[in-house]
Amino acid sequence: MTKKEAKTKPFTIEKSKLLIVEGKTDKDFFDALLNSLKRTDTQVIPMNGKDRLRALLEVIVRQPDLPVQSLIIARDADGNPKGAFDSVCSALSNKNVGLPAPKKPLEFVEGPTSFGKSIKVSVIVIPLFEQKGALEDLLLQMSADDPLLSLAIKYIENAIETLKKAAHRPPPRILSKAQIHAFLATFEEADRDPGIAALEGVWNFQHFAFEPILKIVQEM
Amino acid sequence: MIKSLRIEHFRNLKQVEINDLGRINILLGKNNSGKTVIQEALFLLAPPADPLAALRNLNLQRGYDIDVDSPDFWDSFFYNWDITRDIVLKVTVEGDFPFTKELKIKAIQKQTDSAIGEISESNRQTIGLHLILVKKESGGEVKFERLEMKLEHYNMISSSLSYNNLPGYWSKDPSKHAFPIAFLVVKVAARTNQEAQRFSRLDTVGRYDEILAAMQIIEPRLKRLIVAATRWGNVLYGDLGTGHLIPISLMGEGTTRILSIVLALLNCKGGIVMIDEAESGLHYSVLVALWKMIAETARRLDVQIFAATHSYECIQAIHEAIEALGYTDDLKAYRFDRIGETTRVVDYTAEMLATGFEMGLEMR
Repeated sequence: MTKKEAKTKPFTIEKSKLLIVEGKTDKDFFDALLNSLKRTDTQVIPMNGKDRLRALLEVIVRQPDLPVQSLIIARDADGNPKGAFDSVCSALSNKNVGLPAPKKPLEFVEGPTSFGKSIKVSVIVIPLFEQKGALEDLLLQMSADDPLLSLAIKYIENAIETLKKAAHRPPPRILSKAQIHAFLATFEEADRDPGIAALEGVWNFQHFAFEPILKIVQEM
Repeated sequence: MIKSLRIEHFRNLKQVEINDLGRINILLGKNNSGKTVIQEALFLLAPPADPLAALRNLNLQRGYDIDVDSPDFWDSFFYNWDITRDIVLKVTVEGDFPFTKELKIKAIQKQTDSAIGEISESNRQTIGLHLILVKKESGGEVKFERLEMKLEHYNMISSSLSYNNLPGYWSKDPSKHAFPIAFLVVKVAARTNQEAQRFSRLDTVGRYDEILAAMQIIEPRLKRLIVAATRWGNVLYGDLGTGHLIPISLMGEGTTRILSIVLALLNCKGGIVMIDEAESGLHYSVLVALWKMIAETARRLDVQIFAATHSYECIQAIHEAIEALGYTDDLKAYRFDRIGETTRVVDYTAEMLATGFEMGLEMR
């Protein structure tokens, strides 16, 4: 079966609340969050690449009988939190999308749509508060109280120092990703990625570092 | 090439406007959303040489077999059967000689006998249609022509108001105001004699190889095509190398469908081919090759395609074929969503279709 043949049964967005996230790990993470909140009215879909957001939104707003009344787009800040937010807003307000764009992250804006319903839209730039980074940076903050985390961080620091001296190969490109993976390797199931770990209850969604995201998702 | 289409009060469409049409246009939507109505509107705008026969055919193709002496025959073309609102069909055509064409259709009513001689809705009935076609040429000097025709069930009256010494009779010189058009409706089986004639017309001008190559998409064993004159008319036969020629119409629905499509394309240079239920009768494995042939031929002969389908697989195949040829600018898709009394037209570019397929999202 070819890749194209495998997708002959299309899926529809059928819930009134929609969370668009970056990739599979983020989808698992937010699915776990919604499970923890016992929310069944929200659908999470990955954009499979930040540069795909506009194209994805163009198709979503064109879906027949689209029921979405509330939308959150969550993406990583990477090296430019403002640029990340502006990029999402630009995709939202593109002429082929026509959705309202909020003035700043973690706020809802409400407005009309081309598909006939009013919609609430918000943007989450992770790891919040104009910090650079990604989901893993937020996870480090959420796990700061765990003594194993400091050991994992220390291990990665030592590894990087060793790599610098020996120059066997380049060190990890994204430090927080290496630290979180080292931390997750200390669990009984050592091979989980942060998304699967979320589904298995590793992360504490009640942690104060996560509170702004928890709040905006509850307001959807 | 038609760039925009506007429809008012026609069939089940109250008001619809489609802009930025492509060379290949996929029409999508639920049942009764108006896909076929779009094709019917284009068909009438051509306009057909014999409008009465065309109107009859449009109803017959829908299985509405009602005689022209019934008011319902005429009323059925009006939105919600409301004859007080005129039907307006309008196209904008771009190209070397850009023009607009507007066909307005009004009901002709007659007062029937009434015991007390009162005029009321109950003793008036539709007996025909008054068609007014206005074509405006916008390239260089602005010219326009106006043709009028009255169709009545018992007496077809032709009259006209003509400007610029244009034809005073609707069908006298259709080349002046028509574009070639073919309407392939899945419910109507191809007529053996008609297809044989179309084939022969193309064969005599050296187009045989194109037809054979198209037919081989679905039947690779096909070695040659031949028209034989029989006592009962002309029949198009295919040679599968089995020792006996087989009438094409007996080879299966897919074969006759591809034959109809290729004959329509090759006979419609500079015109429009409309394909209803584009997926019908065809195995998924031939769809991409078929649509490559359609897209290439459409470009070469300046043909515009309007294909209605319910099939995700078919839309994917059309997109895959167009993408493989690098003709993505040619492709547009339109879905018609009925929201109460209104119809929302949702347009897709080839890029949007690609994203939809990649994500596996519903677009029909």
